[in-house]
Parts: sequence; structure tokens; C-alpha cells
Amino acid sequence: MKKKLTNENIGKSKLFITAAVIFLCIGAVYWVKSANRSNQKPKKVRLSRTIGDPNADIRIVEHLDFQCSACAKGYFLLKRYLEKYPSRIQLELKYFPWTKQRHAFESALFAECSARQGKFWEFSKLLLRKQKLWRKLSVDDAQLMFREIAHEVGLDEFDLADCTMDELIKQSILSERKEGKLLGIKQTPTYFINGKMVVGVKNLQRELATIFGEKLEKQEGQRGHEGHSHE
Amino acid sequence: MRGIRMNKFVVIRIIIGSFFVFSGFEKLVMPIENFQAIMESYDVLNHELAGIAAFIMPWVELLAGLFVFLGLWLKVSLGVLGGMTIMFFGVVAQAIIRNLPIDECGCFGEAFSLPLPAVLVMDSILCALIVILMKSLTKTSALSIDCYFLEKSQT
Repeated sequence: MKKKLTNENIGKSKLFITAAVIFLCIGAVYWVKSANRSNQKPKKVRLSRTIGDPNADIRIVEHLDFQCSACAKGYFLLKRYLEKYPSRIQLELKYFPWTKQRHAFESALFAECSARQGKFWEFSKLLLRKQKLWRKLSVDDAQLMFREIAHEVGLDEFDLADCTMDELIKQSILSERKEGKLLGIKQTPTYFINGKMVVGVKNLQRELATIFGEKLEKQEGQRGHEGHSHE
Repeated sequence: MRGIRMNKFVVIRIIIGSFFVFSGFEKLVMPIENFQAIMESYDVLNHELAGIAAFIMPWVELLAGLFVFLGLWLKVSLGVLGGMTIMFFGVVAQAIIRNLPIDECGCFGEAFSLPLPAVLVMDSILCALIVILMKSLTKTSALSIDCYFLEKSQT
């Protein structure tokens, strides 16, 4: 009897420890999550990379890598929605160049330099449209292509040359990426639709279809992972 | 404590436990949308089920991993981790067979990631180690909370 009572106590102690471990675990996770959230600073809106109605009810912030093929799909999908619902959407693009991508940073740099000359949207459209052409090029050849696109949209080549050498501009792209990491971004494209995080083009499509009351169309080739992930 | 003896099974147990704790924790401290998108990319679950799985799985990884690390409810927690490893193997294998456009597994959150074939190798090794630990449970549970309570009940 005494042994049975002791075993019961032991059983209870073990359950108590189990509960304590689970409780501490949950506490640790939520503590770290809230610490991460408090590290997020207010975001600066960059007007040169914002398009659409400033009074729009749907505000979308896209974090993209110009070398990411899913980002290109997402960009053109959003463009279609912007044309269809011009007064309802405001879109802002932010850079999240993926470190493993050879041309991610350079393409973002050229895009930012085009923004400084007021031609961001023209440049980025061409850049993404021609993505398949420059993705697999060498660094030098890709840069040449970026300059050709810049010329096509009418950028001043001397200002462009100065801009691409500007360390402050490079730092601004990196700090934008850091901002994205603090928001918990691990893949591109990642969107924030009125503050709600949406990852990948498929989920963007689903979310937009829900918002605008449209039927979600199944598209060929949109299976599997649609983006770049993990630095 | 009697019966406390560090042995290779305990070392493996601690390593495996740490591995899953790290994996689960990394996923949990980041927005759930990231892991949900990764799960959807394997094209096994629909959006809603992927959302549920994305919430549950990291917790199971973390807690089972921690229990293995501490040596608490070892048989059950090792079984859970073994089951998860087999499931991961199946999911990754079907992604490779179907040639899904997935570059990296998304296994460890932001920390690092592996190409899919490497994940299959890793899962196979993990599964084998878990089976070995389960087959030698007495040695595996040396220096564990289970062992402590077992000795208490025998005195």
C-alpha cells in the first residue's frame, strides 16, 4: 500500500514535470516572438516606389528579389489588379535581395538608381520582363543588360554610373532587407496586404481573389514552391 | 544517482533531441505564414490543412525533441519523432518524384536549408538512429528524467 502510494506520487510528480516543461516551452516561444515583434521599427514609405491611389482601401507592400521568378509572376499579377481596380489598391515595392542570387543585389541597386531618376516602374517592369534573359548571365554581362534596360527607359547614364557606386544607396538597400528580416520574411515574394502577411504567388492570388470576390483560377505550372527561401 | 552513466546512446539521444528542438523553435518564432507556404509548396495538403499543419507540426517537433533531450516519456517521444521523420521522408520523396520546383527543404527556418536529396539522406539517418535508440531503451534512458523516476519507484 505504501509502495502504491509512493508510485502514485511519483506518477503525479512526473506529470507535473511534464506540464512544467510544456508550459516553459510555450512561454519561451511566445517571449521570443514578442521580442521579435518589438524589434520591428515603423516603416518608411518610399514614394518613388509606390504606385496607386494613396486613399486606396487596400495597401500592399511587396518585398521582392528581382532575380526571383515567382516575384516576377507576382509583380505582373499585381499590375493586372492595379489596372482593374485602380482606385482600390496602393502598391509599394521593397527590396529583399536574396544573398545566394548572383544578380539580386545589383538588380536592386539599378532599380533604386532608376527610382532616383523617377523611372522606377518603367525600369522594374522591363527588368522583370527580361528576367529570363539575364538570370543566368555572368555578373558583367548582367550588368551590361541592366545598363541597356536603363538606356531603354531613358535614364541618364552618368547619374546612373555615380548612383551605382554610391555606398549610401547600397546601404539603404541592405537596411531595407534587414527591415524585411525583422518582419520575419524568409522567402520572396512576401506581401503585406493591409498588414496581413502573405507568402508566395499562389497565396497572393488566393488573397486577392477573396478580397475582390473573384473566383480563384487554377493556373498551369503554379505548383510547388514559388519563390526563393532561406538565406 | 545510481545507474547514471553517459554512453553513446545518451549522446545520440541528446543530439537528436537538440536537433528537433532547434528545428521546431526556429519555425515557431517566425511568422507561421512562412512555414505554411513551404508546406503548400510540397503540394500534399490544401491551403486550410497546410495552415493547421503549419501550426501543429513545429510544436510537436519542439516538445517531442525536448522530451527526448530530457529523457521524459522517452518511448512515446522517440516514437513521435520517428513517425515524423518517416512522414518528412515520404513528403520529400514525392516532391522529388513529381519534380516539384522546390530548391530547398525549409526544414530549419532561417538558420540553414538543405537541397531535397540531402534531406532524404538526413531523414534516413535520423530514422535509423531513432530506431537504434528505441531498441536500446534502457541504455538510452540513462541520465534521464524517466530513469530518475524509475529508480525512485524501485527504492
